[in-house]
Amino acid sequence: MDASNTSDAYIRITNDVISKSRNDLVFTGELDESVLTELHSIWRRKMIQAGVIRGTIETSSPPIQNPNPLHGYAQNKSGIDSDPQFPSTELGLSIKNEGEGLYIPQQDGASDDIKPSAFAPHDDDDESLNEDDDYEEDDINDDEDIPHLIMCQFDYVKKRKNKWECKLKAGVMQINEKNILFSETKGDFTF
Amino acid sequence: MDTEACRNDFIARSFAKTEEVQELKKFSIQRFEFDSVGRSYVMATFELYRRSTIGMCLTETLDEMVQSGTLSPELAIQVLVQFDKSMTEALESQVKTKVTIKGHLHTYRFCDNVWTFILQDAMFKSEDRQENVSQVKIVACDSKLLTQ
Repeated sequence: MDASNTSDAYIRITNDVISKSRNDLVFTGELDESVLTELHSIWRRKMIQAGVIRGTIETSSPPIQNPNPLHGYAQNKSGIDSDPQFPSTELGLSIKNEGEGLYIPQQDGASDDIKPSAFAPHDDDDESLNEDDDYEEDDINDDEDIPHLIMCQFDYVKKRKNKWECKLKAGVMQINEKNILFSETKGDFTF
Repeated sequence: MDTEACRNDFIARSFAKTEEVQELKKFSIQRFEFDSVGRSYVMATFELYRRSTIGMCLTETLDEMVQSGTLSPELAIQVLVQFDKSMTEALESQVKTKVTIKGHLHTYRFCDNVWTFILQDAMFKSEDRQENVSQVKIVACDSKLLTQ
């Protein structure tokens, strides 16, 4: 259960996703290589910031062909001289983006914006409110209260009286602020 | 028929029933794919790994790029599905760690082929280490749905 093993595994998975996407999408012309590279780099950066992989994040911005304000690179439309190598991060100096109001490049970590993700796994809770939505103290869907989460597959789950036994596999454990991967787990629970 | 085509035929037959397909939709994405001779089959993936840190980082990245217009939603979904596959494969074949879990089962639920457990005072042991948590949620999909 070594953190460096998880980091290595995540790096391999990331590389695998990118290279297979390259084969499927870039070589067929559906996706630009530069977009894929950008995707790879942002994904990697977020994982480093989240502390799940080892690596360094470039802090100076490289010359960009396609500057995008959402990624923290200042878009210079206001006539202020700015060197693309060193975007200004001084507090109080804001750089106007055309048509988008004030924008201050953020260099200190992940955005605080929590927008509902179009691609996040969704639960089928889209019906209008009814008695099923009453809050219960032990609401099993209340993810917020339980920071520790395991995502995996089960081979079997059986119980005898109040003794439960299960065989789980292919899991990610996010416990005690660590990411631990397992191929197999034997679980013994007492209800 | 090569191995891949055999597997795909098996998946197509296994998921032929509409009800199963509807159930799968609740926790996975389906894509219809065609093999080299034009036979169609359904490819199911487990979405659950997207809730992990690596998955959430990817989801956020794709969201940003779609919102900025750099990436189309259709391509973003294809990347996500590839993530499902790569993640599942890595966990099934590249990771070698075995763990035992013990704890008090506080809550359990089985719905749509997914087990959800909430354990209290749980202990996780592997060959070289142990972790203890006061409360943990386990979400487990049926491994047989991706039988190969």
